[in-house]
Amino acid sequence: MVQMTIQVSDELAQRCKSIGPWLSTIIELSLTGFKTQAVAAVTEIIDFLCKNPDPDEITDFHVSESAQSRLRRLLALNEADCLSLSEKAELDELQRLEHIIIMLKINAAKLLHRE
Amino acid sequence: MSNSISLHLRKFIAERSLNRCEYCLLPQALALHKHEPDHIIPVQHGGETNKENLAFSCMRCNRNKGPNVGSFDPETGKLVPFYNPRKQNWDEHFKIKDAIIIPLTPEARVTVMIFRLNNEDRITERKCMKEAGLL
Repeated sequence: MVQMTIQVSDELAQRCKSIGPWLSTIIELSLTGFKTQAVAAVTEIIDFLCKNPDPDEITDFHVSESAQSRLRRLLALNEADCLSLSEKAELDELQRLEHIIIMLKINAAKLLHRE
Repeated sequence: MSNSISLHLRKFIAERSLNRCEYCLLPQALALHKHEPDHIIPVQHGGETNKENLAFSCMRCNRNKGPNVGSFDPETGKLVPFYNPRKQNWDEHFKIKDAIIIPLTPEARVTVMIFRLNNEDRITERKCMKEAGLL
């Protein structure tokens, strides 16, 4: 891990402070550049992280039922070899998102372990 | 298709797997999307939606497997089916060493290859899981 110092406005500093240790994941999600319908799941996650959840709330977190249903539909189309190009791109982005959140959950589990 | 699987059957599949992906062993608790039941033999190849043809699978194993039932063994060139969690034991087909899933049989070799069990993201995750005492 690298520690970075950046200059931001007082107002932004306040907002960042209230997000707590999850800010780096929000920055990572913002910089990854999601372009497909996966953005809906990304928005859910950012809204959740902005509330500065406790580590145990992070480890319990899963996407909403509507996002899970969307994945279920994409996987069923994939099993039938019927995905469009944009749906394939969406699954690629969801896989990227999955990795980012798995890493976040592992870090949250580490924090819980230390407590 | 998988969206026709009843809630009762979903619950059975999850509990039978101990809430882990039956291919890569990722605990559902660490995943963003909940794991889904996967047709071991896809519907289009005649697979049925029942306990014997369903495996609990993370979204990546599910996606990478897609409509396939097997592949060509990279060592022998022979066509072999994927590892089948209903008929085979994970420990007899794979082992984990230094965060890498090592295949021990032809079925495991094609599974590791097609499911991309050792891509960079997954190895990174396993290394961190090990450090955190989760693997």
